[in-house]
Amino acid sequence: MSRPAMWLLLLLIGTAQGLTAQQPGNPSLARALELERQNQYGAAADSFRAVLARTPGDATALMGLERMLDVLQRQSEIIPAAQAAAAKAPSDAVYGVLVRAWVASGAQDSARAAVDRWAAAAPGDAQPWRAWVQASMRQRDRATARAAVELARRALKDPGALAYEMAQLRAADGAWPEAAREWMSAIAQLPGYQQAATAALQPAPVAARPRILTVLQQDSALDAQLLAANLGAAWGDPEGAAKTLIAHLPPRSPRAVDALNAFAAQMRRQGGRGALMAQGLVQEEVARRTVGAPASRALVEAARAYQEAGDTDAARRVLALVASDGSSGAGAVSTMVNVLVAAGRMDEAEARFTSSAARLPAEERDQLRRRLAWGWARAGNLARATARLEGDSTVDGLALRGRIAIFQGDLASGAEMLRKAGPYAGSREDATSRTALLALLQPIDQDTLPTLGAALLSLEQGDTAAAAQALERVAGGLPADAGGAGLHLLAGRLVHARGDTASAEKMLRAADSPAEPAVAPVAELELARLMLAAARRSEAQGMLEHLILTNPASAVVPEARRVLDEVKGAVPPS
Amino acid sequence: MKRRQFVHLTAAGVAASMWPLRRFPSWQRAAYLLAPMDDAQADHLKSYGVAFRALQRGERLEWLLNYRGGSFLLPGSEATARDAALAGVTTEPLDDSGATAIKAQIAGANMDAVPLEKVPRVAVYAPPNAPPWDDAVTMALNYAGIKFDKLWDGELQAGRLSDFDWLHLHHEDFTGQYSKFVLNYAGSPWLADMINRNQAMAKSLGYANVPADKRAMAQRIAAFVERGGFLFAMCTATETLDLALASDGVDIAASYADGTPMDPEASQKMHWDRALAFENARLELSPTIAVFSDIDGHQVNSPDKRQPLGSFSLFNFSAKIDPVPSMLVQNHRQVIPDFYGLTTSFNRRTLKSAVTVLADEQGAPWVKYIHGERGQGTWTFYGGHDPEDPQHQIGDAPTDLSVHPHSPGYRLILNNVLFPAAKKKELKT
Repeated sequence: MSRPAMWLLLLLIGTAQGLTAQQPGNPSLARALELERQNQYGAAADSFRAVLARTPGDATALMGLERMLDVLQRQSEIIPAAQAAAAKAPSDAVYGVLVRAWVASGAQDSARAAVDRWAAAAPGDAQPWRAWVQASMRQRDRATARAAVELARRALKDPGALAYEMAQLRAADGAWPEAAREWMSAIAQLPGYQQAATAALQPAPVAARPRILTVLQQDSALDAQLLAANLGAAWGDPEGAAKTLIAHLPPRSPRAVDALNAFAAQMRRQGGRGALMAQGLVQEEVARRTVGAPASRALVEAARAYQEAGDTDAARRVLALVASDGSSGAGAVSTMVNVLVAAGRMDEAEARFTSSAARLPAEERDQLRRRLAWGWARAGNLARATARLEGDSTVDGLALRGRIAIFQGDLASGAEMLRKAGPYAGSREDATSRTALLALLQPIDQDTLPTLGAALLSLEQGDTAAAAQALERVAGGLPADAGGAGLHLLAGRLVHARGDTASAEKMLRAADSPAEPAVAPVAELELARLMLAAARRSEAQGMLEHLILTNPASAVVPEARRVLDEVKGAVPPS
Repeated sequence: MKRRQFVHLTAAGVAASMWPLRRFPSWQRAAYLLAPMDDAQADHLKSYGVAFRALQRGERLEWLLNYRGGSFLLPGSEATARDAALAGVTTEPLDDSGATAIKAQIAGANMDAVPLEKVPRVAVYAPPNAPPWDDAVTMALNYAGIKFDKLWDGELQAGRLSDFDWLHLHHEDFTGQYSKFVLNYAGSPWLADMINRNQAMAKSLGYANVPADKRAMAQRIAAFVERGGFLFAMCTATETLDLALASDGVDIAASYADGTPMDPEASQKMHWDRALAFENARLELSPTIAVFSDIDGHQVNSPDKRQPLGSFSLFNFSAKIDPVPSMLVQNHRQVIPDFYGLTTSFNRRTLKSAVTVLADEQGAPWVKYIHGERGQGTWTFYGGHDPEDPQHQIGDAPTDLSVHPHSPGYRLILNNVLFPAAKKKELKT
């Protein structure tokens, strides 16, 4: 055999050995595992037992037998095998099985003896005690579990040992402030417990929450402040939590910035206006505590959060700081343009876009163009809006052109473009709004109706009074089943929101036409709400009952039943 | 015609509406309407209300025990069809042959058809200021649309219990110790209000203190059962009612309640023969622990003894031989998640031998739901506070049953409300 061939042979033999080493070397063990895989638990248990009869210290077989007996609910049968294994070849795995077996059979004294032996073999290791505590917790024996933690702390001379387990025990006891202290101890050992602690303390009853926050806020550790802030936000006051966190953090501490960023990330996950405002607050604080690009990034993030929360003043205030530091990047430009468009300052928005467009990524540039087009449309300059969309062949651009066409009164082309844009252009909110607009236009026979376009544009501009008047005029000229009912409904809702209940009722009754069965139940629900607001309960009840009985398949029936339940006092008020 | 139909279909008060009158749909008339109580039912809890109101209209109906989760065979009247449609209760129209086929199936299986013919007069024992959303039975009755009266000590003293067939007790503490919240919740306005009201009531009725008042009320309630009343109790009312009955002449109240400390030998001096369900319980001596005795298996307010929640299983009974327990356990679920209350469960050790266990937690030393007789009447005890708020705490938001229309735990409550409607001969076992 040549030398290369011999090397090849040796290599193949070595590889083959390596592969077989990954399978259970013992055929009986392999058979037991296969039986387990096939869910033949009784036969698998017998096979694991057979392996243990030959090699009592085989931890794999012992744990397999434990699994099978657990499924078969014959847990106590493991004890002789576990004792034999512990005598022959004690290991962490074998001791773990033995402790669990004793606890499951209610023999806590024997469990304690096994833990003592295990702890003597592994001095300074918390694992023996942890196994005992966890097994006792599984058996709902919290008194023993607590006692085991105390013993562990004395034995290990570590008052924070097994804090994670003790935190769960204290929470289960309803001792929430003590649970919070234990969580802080656990987080000090492993910061990764921060989210687990938030999740575990979040269900605390309302009465216990102030005490939990006091415990945490009295702790000078940054992790405690962060946990307090996360909990405060989860319990409904994200802005207050952010302010408290900022007030409690030490100055000039890099770890404080980490805590602020962690809280901001938590707020992003939480969502909602309050969380967005809280995110803005802490990002501003990050910017104050950092310099250069990180500070600019934080300011842009703060502005974005404020803008998404609807606080355009705060967003503009923060963006002014970004602009003044001279290091504003593409993100800052985009946020700034969005804020200016939202504020209706179109000339400033155009100028900001034009001066920065060249350094923006192509996709972001196109998005901003559409945003500007939308801004011009809202401002009533439909020609400029259309011009801004020239060359835009995207689905989002098509959806926007469709809306602009409708504002111009070209219902047929506009509706066609909205249909082609489909349900995926823009945000989910945009898609829903498009669908509602299409549903409104669908029954209208006329291809062009400039008065309706103008009314919808007024609505988009936020002039609900003018929009409602115009919609009512248009609706009056259309048959109920050719768009009149739907437009009366929209006008009625707008007027109701403005507090003019008499006019709203008149318009909603006009919408409640048997000729338009898709609109009538919605109008009746709206009328019932209007009557309830005016303390006309019996009329509202009659209206709701009519709605349910005459339109049992309507999508608004569950909502109508809910309101009817409230009227009757069958459920707590919303 | 249109106007007449409208007036017929809407309540009289609605006629005041200015809303233009319009025609309601007319339902296809069927001989019967089956309200299935298995998973086909859209609103299990409101089904009981539909059945109850049919009884109120003088209609006859049948409770089909063990048939599709304990379904109701309702008359196919327009009023019932309308009521079910408004409530969102699923009904299936049946002709005579369909009903006969069901009866044939019932005859050959562990099922029975129990006629319901009497409208139970329902009362809830609660102070006048009790919030409507802090009592599971009140919530269930309100949600199902079953009317009830509220009674408290003044009404009981005046003998008004005899006006009712069915009485519910919830978290009243009949030991007169304000649920032992006095030390832990000192300073809370709601607690101060509770103490003031109870003390004023005891004084106005001529009792020396609140524990004496509550013991007298417990005795009146026991006498109501003796005379043939139906008693349903939940939460603390179960345990404390029996403690009050058994403690005649024994001081089991802390000094903040009656001015003298509890008798340390009280456990040995109790007269368990006077209690409805329990015996040989050991009383909790500490006035600071909101636990009354070892009757409760879960001891929610005892840091050293509190047990975690599991789930409880309903027992199966022979519908034809044991219609009463069968009615009480009708459900579309056999295993139900447990829920805490000041009294969550009942230790088996403390149950009298004549008690019928309706549900227990397998392998646990406690049971959840029990039933028994006293004189001409019956009592049923159900541990826990709110089946859909398992960790209930003072101050929690009220449970909205419209998001739990299938609640199996609440169904057990409503089984109890309807059970006195059964034809009297069916109630004899």
